Amino acid sequence: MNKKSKTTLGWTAFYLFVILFVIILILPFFWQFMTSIKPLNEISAMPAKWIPGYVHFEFYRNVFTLHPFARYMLNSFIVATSSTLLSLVIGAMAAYALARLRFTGRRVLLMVILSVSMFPTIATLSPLYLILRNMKLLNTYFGLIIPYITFSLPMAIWLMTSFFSQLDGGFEEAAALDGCTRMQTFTRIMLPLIKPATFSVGLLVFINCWNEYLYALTFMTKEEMRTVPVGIALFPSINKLPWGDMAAASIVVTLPLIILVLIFQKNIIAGLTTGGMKG
Amino acid sequence: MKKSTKKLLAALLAMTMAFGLAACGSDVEPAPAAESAAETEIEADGEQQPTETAGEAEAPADAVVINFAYDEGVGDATREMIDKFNASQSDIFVESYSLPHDANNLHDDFVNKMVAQDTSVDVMALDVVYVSEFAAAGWVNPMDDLYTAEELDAFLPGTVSGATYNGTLYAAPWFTNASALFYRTDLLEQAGISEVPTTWQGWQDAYEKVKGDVDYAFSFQGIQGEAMVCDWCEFIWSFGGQVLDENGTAVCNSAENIEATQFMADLIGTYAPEGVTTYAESESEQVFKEGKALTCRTWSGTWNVFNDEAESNVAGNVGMTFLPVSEEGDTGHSCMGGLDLVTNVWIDDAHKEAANTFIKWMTSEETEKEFTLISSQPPAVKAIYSDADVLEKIPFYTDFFAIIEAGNTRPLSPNYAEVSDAIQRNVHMALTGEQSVEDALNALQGEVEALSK
Amino acid sequence: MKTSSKKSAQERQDAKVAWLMMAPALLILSVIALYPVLRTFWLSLHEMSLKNPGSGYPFIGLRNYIEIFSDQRAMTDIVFTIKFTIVTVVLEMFIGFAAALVMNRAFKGRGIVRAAILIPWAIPTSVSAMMWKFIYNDQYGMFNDVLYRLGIIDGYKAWLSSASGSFMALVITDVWKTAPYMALLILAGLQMLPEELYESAKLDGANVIQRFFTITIPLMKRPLLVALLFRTLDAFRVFDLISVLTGGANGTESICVYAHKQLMSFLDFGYGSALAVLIFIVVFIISLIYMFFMGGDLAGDD
Repeated sequence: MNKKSKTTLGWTAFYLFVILFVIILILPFFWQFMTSIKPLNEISAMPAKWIPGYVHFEFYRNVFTLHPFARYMLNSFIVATSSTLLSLVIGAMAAYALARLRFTGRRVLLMVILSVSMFPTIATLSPLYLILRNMKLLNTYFGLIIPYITFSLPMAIWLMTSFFSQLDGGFEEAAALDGCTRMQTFTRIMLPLIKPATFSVGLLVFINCWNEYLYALTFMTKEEMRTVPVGIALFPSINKLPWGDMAAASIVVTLPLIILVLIFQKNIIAGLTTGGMKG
Repeated sequence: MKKSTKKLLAALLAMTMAFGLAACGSDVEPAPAAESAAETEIEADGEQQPTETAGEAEAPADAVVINFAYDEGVGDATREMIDKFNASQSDIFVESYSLPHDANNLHDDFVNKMVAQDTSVDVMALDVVYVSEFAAAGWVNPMDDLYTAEELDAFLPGTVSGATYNGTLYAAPWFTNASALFYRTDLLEQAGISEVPTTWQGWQDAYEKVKGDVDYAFSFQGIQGEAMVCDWCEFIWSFGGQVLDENGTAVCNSAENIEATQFMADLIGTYAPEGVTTYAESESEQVFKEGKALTCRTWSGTWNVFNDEAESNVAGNVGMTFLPVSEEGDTGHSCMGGLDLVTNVWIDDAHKEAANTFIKWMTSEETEKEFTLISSQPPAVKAIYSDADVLEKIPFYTDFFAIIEAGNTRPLSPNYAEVSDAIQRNVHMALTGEQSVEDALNALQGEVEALSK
Repeated sequence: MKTSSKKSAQERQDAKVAWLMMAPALLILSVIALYPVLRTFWLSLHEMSLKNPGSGYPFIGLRNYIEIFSDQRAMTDIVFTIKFTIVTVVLEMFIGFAAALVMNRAFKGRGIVRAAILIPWAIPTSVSAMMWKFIYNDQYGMFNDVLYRLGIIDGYKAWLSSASGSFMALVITDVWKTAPYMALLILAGLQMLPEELYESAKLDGANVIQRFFTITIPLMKRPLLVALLFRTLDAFRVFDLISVLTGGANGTESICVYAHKQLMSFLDFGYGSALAVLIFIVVFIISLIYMFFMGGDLAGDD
């Protein structure tokens, strides 16, 4: 009897904690959503108004009619997806090499790779602009993808290296016994084993690229090439900060990311295949 | 095929698709958007892209193509003017791009380009306080031969002196801006005050009479930023103080300045919201729009917003007047802002000429008048303030002209950024009470003096 | 004997494959990332105020760096940045770990919780910071309203107007935004833990707490440290959040904000570059410390 009530108590406490945690996390976002459907003169009501007088979706309409917002989202999507995929593929290969293969200079390389991403972006902006201009990459998708890869790669490599190193060496021995080359071991066995980690890393890289502002502002000046964060920054006019429109835009922008998470969450939390060694 | 190989292939396929899309880059057409809000870009080598957006044109075959970068804050009006220019002649074609409405963003973008000796932008819209800096860095072309003395006379004198550095004109005044004191006409009426107060004391007395209906007398900007520099300058001017004296020597810790700054700091938390030290224009305007403040100091263009019933709770009850002064009989001096047009020093002569022609057209009386009618931004050309059409649309310009004429500029110096930064930090500490006013202004004096060495 | 030559042959083969696999990464990084870094180093050794083009930008060696140490403002900013980094990283670690443990468990509604936890990280920083500025406002801010209704405060406050208020506001906003990031990273690491260890521990009679401390913590050491490392690097280089929320007022100017000011506002490319390099050096030292704690090889155990 005691044990049962203890478990129930445990679970209740657990659920309470979860609910409280989620509420605190979501509350600002909920507020933002409320702002995006409130009438214009209630947005900064004093004191703050929680229940709007009436609900309207004009801000959402504004987001897409006053600005080429769909275009912005397409650009962001293309850039972020390409950067993520490339970072993952290139990063996974490098990470595997660093984690599992034996050669001299591993640690030094890891440090060098890391150092390159440690530099403050404010200082790298100017020289990077020069490089991209000379390579004629300004106002092209690659003009953003390449810089994004440079700051995503180190993180992807480091994270995947640490995950690879967590794996049991037994897998490779078994694979070698089966006659697999290193590359085959890599693609057929090791990669799938860190799948949940890969998806997590991919998601983080995607979000980083999706939300990046400074490079996007500097390297893409043509209206039809702009990404979402810059697009939102272009909303304010000289005497007006259209907070309703911006709130609506931020909701519109966050939704695809949430959908992505919901789609891929199974992959983030895949059950670990312990059957790799058996059989 | 093994599952993992399948996945790898899928990833590679996706990557290839992404590559393909990426390689297409700027050839992809923009989605059709309403009005002239979308920019239409044309390849620099003359290739044309069919688009469905309004107001686009194609670059004539042998036209000189110049690029104009401007503040999105006046985006719509600017784009209309550009379209008009392009349609009116076929020798010059103007392409453009806008930057977010943030003085820092604009400044930084131009700096990056100038440092890279970029020729991708020919004409830039520069905030008036940065003209000296850009001129000292050698990034903008002199414009002495662009206007005759007579033509220069057509501009407000303050805008011309702001565009001059070391005796040479380096920028063309485009539009200006001045702050004003907005107030609640209904409250003054209710309190039986027939004459609009002109002094600080006058406004404080008025507030005492209507205390029940508003929480605050004043709402202004005290954030640690450029907005506060404007406010602080106006406070010290209203007490007869200056930042630099006639010889350009720093007098930041003069007695008048100390008195003014003390007064400003004392208002916060009593006659003005406590959060004023975090307010930029937007926050201070919200307080007024919600009907919580008797007055609000902000830029003149906010008139339309304050009277917009959809978003302002005080629409129709708003008046505009000079900034308050400390002594009876003085005039309130507003801080002048605005944007000037400059040309990039790295471009070749053909582009320079085309750029100058465009600039001259943009700053002509006719164009400025149209620009003002669309954007409600104060023009740099004097005559427009008495133009019948303009006054019909924007009736308060009759009074506003007097405010503009009495406007002062912030200190003009290539080191303006450092001076502004020094003012921001030190004065903010005085406003939040972190430091005493004397200490803060003494520190400021020290810093500004060191800069002039 | 045969074994040793086989090993070295294997090693050589491995090395070949390894470099091949790393080639794309190294190529991109060296071409794109190395040049800006080297150029900044080079600029920092010159006196380069863009407002004095006539000066010829002379080479001055390490003088910029020496000047940094007598720059009171730079020193204050570094202290603040260290304070901010420690507080946020520690908080984010604990909250992130707790969240990861929660997400790791199977319970009803887990999917929604996972998606919800990511929301703060998903909103673009520029919008997020503005949103929080709105929330902290002393007249119409939601923060004030919630605290007031819960009876925690008895009147609306201007949170961003004081040094302590600003610091607290910055920490809250940063933790809100970044704990999900930590949670996701830690979760990935948790997912890699082999189930059998827990099974056998359970059979041995270990309870939840014992299992946590004897299995989870030791095995999570490396992924946790990597997550912490990246988080620390980001926290030390904080820029956007401070710019939008406080502009550096009330003693909240971070060293990156100052470096940006020197570089882009004051146009002192020499001194600004030196500050950037200094930030880099500090961050480098921090990562060395982390590497030390990760003990031996991050890259597998030889």
